[in-house]
Amino acid sequence: MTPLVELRGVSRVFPAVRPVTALRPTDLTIRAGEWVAITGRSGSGKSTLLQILGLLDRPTSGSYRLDGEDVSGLSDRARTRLRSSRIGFVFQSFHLMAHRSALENVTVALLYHGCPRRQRVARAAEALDRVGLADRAGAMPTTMSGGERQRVAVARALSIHPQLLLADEPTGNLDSATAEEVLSLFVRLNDEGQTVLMVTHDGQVAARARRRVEITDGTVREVTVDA
Amino acid sequence: MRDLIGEALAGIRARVHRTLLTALGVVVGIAALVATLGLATTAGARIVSHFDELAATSVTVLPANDGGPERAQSAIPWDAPERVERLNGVVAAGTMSTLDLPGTPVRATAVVDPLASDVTQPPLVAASPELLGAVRGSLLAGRWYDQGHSDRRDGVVVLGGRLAARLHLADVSQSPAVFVGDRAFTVIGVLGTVERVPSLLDAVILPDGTARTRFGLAAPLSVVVETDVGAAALVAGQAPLALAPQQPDALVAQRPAEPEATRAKVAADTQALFLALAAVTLAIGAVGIANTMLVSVLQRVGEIGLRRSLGATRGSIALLFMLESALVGLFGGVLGAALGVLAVVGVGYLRQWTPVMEPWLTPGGALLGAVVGLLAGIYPAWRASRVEPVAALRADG
Repeated sequence: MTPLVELRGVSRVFPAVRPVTALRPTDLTIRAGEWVAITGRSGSGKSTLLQILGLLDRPTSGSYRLDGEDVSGLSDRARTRLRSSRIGFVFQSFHLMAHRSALENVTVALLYHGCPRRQRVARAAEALDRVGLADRAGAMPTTMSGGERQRVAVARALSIHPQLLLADEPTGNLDSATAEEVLSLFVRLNDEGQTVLMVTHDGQVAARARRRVEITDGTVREVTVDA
Repeated sequence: MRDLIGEALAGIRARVHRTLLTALGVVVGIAALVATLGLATTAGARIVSHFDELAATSVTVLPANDGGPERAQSAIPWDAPERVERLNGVVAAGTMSTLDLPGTPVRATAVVDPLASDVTQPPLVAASPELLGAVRGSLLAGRWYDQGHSDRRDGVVVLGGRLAARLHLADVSQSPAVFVGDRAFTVIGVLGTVERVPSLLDAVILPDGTARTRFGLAAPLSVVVETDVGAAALVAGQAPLALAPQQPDALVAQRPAEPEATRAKVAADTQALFLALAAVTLAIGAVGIANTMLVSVLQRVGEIGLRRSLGATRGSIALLFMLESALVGLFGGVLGAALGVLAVVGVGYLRQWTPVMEPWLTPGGALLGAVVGLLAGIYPAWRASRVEPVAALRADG
């Protein structure tokens, strides 16, 4: 079976007077259905890795195959189209639009996904149902708890049925109780077959993942997880 | 596109107060523009309609040119006002004859002083007592003469207001005299306004009976008729017959032509000034919108990054902000056009004018607001399109 994500010798160097190497040549393979946690201290290069995986940034060298297709050389426009169809993002600061209801926040993703107007509301409602917020569809983000907001953000990412769900410190702005609420959601989604890739600096959060990858000074290393 | 308009509207709804304040400059600019143009057309229409009303109710009967002097003199009878007033639709009628008396100066004093400044040679007009009503005149002071003065050939005159001012004869309670040639006349009144024949304000007006004996006026030279609205044509057709049944073709009935000049030159200077002011206000409004949109772009870096990561292209981000800016402008334009119309109607109400506006002015004003907004949005939209999707990872909010 073709791996979902296949990085070969991918590196990222930020050009400057003294160029900064954020990511040394890296190989990484992620199969469909996996839940991978990428850990590392701040500045270790984990965000750079996430950006490359999420097609937000282009590697300086190496090749990136997403579902068998080489995407490392694609144009800005082509990468944008791929993002809207294959990749769901969950950010640390939820990025919900404060004056739009939970449902409307989810439909924005479907808008750029190219989903016809009529189906949008139905699919958004379905995504909210998956994260257990069916009854909060009309609520404004300002009236929701942090956990609920992050679940709306997850629903927004899920609404397009992404092949890859990328989460950047999804529990970073939450207290431990609500963090658990969100984490158990990720567990359930992964059980349902959703491929999840999560960046975190929190060891406890990473421990919930099925597979851990640690990144130190731009170098990636597998961490063996005891079964 | 429909979706983007929806998104833009939602973006505006989220910041209602800011939108209101942002649109204020455009509101004022468009309001000033619409009000200026609206008031110009209203004032123009008022002058024209006032003139039309005067013209539609005015008939002047003159001797026909080809009649020859003798015939012309006898064509209009002395009882012309009476005869014309019997016709249907006539409100008032009076005879008016400008006396042709070259070398007859009018003075306020009897002393012939070669250096005197009070010597003028104003037109001398013989008029029947009914003329005052027929020309819609009003008196500034004193009184108008009556049929008795005319029958007795009294030596009385009424001065036009401008002439009285030139002769320093404003106070008629002292019964001052003016000298027409060598003959003294008592001034019994001063004309204030004359709507139909403004030239009377510069004239010396005396009863036609007096003119007959003192200046040898053989017959009235014209009859000025005021008719009901719409009756002018009828009266013009009948008046020559009523005045001279034996030779109606010796007379012609005239209706005045429109003064095109009045129509064209309506306060053009003030209009230009206000239009310039409106343009400046609009420019300030545009800068205001651009500024607010730019701040909005900076505040919404996270949202823009998110939209980009969700698959929004640079173009669609730029379009979104252009639309928001244009909608703010349109909103300001609609509000401003409404205020402008209100101002025109309000002035019309206070001055008792009929508000007249070009039909394109209101939608045009609103549309101009949208265009101003669109132009103001170009730079902020470009800035927004430069935001990288990575911004969503870093930004708070």
